[in-house]
Amino acid sequence: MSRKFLIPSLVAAGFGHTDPLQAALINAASTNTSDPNQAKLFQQYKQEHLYTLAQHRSHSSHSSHRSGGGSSGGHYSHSSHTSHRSSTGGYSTPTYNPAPLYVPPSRPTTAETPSGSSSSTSNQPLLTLPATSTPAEGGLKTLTGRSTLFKTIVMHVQVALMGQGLFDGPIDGQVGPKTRAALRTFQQTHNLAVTGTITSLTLDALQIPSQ
Amino acid sequence: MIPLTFGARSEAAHPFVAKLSYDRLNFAPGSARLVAEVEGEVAFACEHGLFALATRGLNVDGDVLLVDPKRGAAERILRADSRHNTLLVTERCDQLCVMCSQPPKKTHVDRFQHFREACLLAPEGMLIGVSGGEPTLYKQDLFELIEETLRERSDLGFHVLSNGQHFDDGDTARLRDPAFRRVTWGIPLYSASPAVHDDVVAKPGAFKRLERSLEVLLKAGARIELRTVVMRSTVPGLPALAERIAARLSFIEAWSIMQLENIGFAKNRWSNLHHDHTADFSPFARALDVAQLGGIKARLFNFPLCSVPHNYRHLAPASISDWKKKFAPGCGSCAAKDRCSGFFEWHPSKGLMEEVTPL
Repeated sequence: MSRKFLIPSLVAAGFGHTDPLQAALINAASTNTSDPNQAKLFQQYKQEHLYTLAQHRSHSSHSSHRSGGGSSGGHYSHSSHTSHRSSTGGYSTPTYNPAPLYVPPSRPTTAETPSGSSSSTSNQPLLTLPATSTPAEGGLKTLTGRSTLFKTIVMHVQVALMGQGLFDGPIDGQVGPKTRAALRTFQQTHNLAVTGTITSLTLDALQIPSQ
Repeated sequence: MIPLTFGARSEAAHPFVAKLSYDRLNFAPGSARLVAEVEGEVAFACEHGLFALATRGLNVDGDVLLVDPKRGAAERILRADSRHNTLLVTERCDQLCVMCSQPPKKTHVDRFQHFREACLLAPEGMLIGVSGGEPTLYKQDLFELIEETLRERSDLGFHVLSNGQHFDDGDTARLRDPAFRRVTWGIPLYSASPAVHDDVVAKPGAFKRLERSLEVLLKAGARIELRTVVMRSTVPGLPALAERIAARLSFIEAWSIMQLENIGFAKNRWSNLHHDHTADFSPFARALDVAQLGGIKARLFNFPLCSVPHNYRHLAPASISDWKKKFAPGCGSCAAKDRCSGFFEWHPSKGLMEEVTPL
C-alpha cells in the first residue's frame, strides 16, 4: 500500500486555507514556542500522550524543511511530498507533519506511562462491542478490537480546532458537544457540509494528514 | 471463516453506508477514505464522519459497509473480493421450514434505504444476493431496490431467494421490465407432492400458492432457479420431482439440489433430517438423468466432489459461499479442491468429513 499525502495536494488544488492560526499551531506542536497559550496546548497534549510527544520530538529535525517556506502554502506543494513518499522505506514517521496520527498502541513504552499522567488512555479498549450485541448474520461472531486509533485522530482534530480558536475543551479524544460545535463552526466558515462530524473533507481542511 | 462484521467505532449519529477506499485521493461520492492504519485496525473518514474498524488485517479496500455507531459494529454488506454477497432484507418469514438455516424473527428492521445506497456503490459487474427471512414480504421495497439499482447500474445483477408465496397477477407487467432480466429468483420446491412440500415449509397450501406464483413469473418471463434441499423426506421424491419439473416447469433456468446445512433448525434436528447420499446415489442419479433428458439444467449444490459418483461430478460445482466454506483434514492432498464445494463451516466432523477421498 503506497503512502500518499492527501492534504498537501488538496491545498495545492485550492482546498482549505493556510490560516495564520494554523501556522501557529504547527509551531506550537512541533517547536518549543514561548507563546504561553500554545505552550499550554502542548502541555495538555503531552499529558495525554507521552508517546505522541516522543514522535513529535523525532520530527523536530524536519522542521527546518518546513520552516523554509514560511510564506503561504509553497512548502505544501505536492511534488515535494511525492519525493518523500518514494524515498521513505519502512515508513512510520511523516516528515512534514507536526501532528502525527500514527500512534502504535501496543508499544512497550505505553505501559511505562507514569500512573500520574491522567488515566492512561492508550490501554482502554475502544472498539469493544457491547456484550448485548447479537451475533452477525450467518451465526458469525462479531469482532472485538482494542484501539486508540479513533481516539488519537479525534485528539488531533481537537488540537487543530483549538489552534483555529474554535475549541477550548479538553483534548480527550471524545467527540462531545464542544467538539461538535467547533466542527460545525469550522465547517460553516470553510463552506463544508455542516455535519458536526469529522468528515473526510473536514480532515482535509483542518490539514490533518492521512497516514 | 471470513468475518462479515467488524467491531467499529464511529462518531456519526446514525447508521450509514460507505465504500472503503485505500486511495486517499478518491473523492467519489459515498467513498470513505483511509485516514490511518495501525496493526489490525483502520480508520476511515467519509461524508458522515470518522470511523475506525477492527479489521484484523483483512483487506477491506472497496468493501461497502453499513456502519452502526450505536451497536459498535460495521457490516460488510458487499465484499469487493467476493462473489457471495447477500443482502438480508428482513428476518420475517411466513413459512417455517423444518430445516431453516436462518430461523425467522418476528421483528423487521427496515434497511432498504441503506441497501439502495450500498448497491449503487457495488463493484463493477457484481451479482448481489438477496435473502431473508422472506424478501417478498416487502415486495414493493424489494422491487424498488432492484429497479432503482439496475436503472443506474446496468452492470449489476440480483439473485433473490424467495418462497414464492407473494407474487400475483398485478406483478406480471412490472416484472416484464427489462431490468428484471438481470434478476434470478431462487425458489424452493421440495416435492411434486403438495403434502410433502407443505410439510417441509410448515404452511398448508404453500404448494398451491407457489404454483400460482410460478405462473406469474412464467408470464413475466422471469428467470427462475428452483431449489430442493436434500432431506430424508425429500430424497425419495426426487425422481418424481424431476419429472414434474421437466414436464410442467421447463421454463425454469436451473434446478439446484442442495445439501442440508447443519445450522439453524437443522442443527437440533440433524439426525432426523440428514440423508446420507453416499449410501445410495440412485435417487439423485435418476433425478439428474430425468432432468437432463427434459432439458433442465440440474446441479448438485454443496456436494463434496469425492462423495459424488464420477460421471455426475461435473454437475457438482464449488457452490458453498467463501465465508462459510471449509475442508476436511483429509482434503489436504486433494487435487480437486479448487473445483469442490467443500463443506459448510458448521458441518459435523463425524460422517462424510471423515470419509473424504482426495482426488
